[in-house]
Amino acid sequence: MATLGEIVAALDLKVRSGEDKMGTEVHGGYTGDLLSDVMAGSKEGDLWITRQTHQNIVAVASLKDHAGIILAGGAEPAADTLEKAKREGIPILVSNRSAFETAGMLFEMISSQKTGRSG
Amino acid sequence: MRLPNDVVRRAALVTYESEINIVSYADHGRIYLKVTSDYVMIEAIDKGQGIADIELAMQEGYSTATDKIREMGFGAGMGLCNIRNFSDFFRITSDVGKGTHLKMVIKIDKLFDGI
Repeated sequence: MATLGEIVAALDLKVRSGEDKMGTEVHGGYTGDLLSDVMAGSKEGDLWITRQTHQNIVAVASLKDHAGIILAGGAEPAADTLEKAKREGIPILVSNRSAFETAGMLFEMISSQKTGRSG
Repeated sequence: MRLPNDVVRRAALVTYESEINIVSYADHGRIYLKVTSDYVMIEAIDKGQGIADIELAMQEGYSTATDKIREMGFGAGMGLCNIRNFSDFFRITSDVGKGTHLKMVIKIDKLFDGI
């Protein structure tokens, strides 16, 4: 487990919305660009890594109660996406790394902290 | 009345998938929501092309989505599967050239079986 703030610092992410949510604890993550797949497979509290930038990602993150969204590959949220994310309090974070690298680093961070805690 | 979180989340998910289907494939449609103390019922009724082969449409990965729909991250051929999997009761009927009718029930009281 790590907080959003710790993840932002470790992965060098840019915070585009949800600045006040940096204390949120992240227990897991999900990677995908197919919205139905993300809705089927992701869990509450996951940090979702995607390349999609349109406003439907906010709807998906909101209805699945995700901890936030990481846009990989330096993708920036569309203007209406950002506006909606701010309104709904969904953190959008931008990573300059690929989705593959971002997911690898996030997994490493969350799972190593899990191991550290359990002994 | 306060509904359990998982009921709200599942109801939102199946409603959202139904809405995407109507916007993507039908001419127009309506979504009805009924909330009782035992269950949430959602019906999505559209007028449009309908579905010729429901069994095929229910197969995961099968989709007739256009490139434009796919660019948005939809059209993975999972929408109807999600609707079925996240509902406690699911029924789909369709008339080609007329439209499609989805009916979903999500139980609040797990023992309720009066659908």
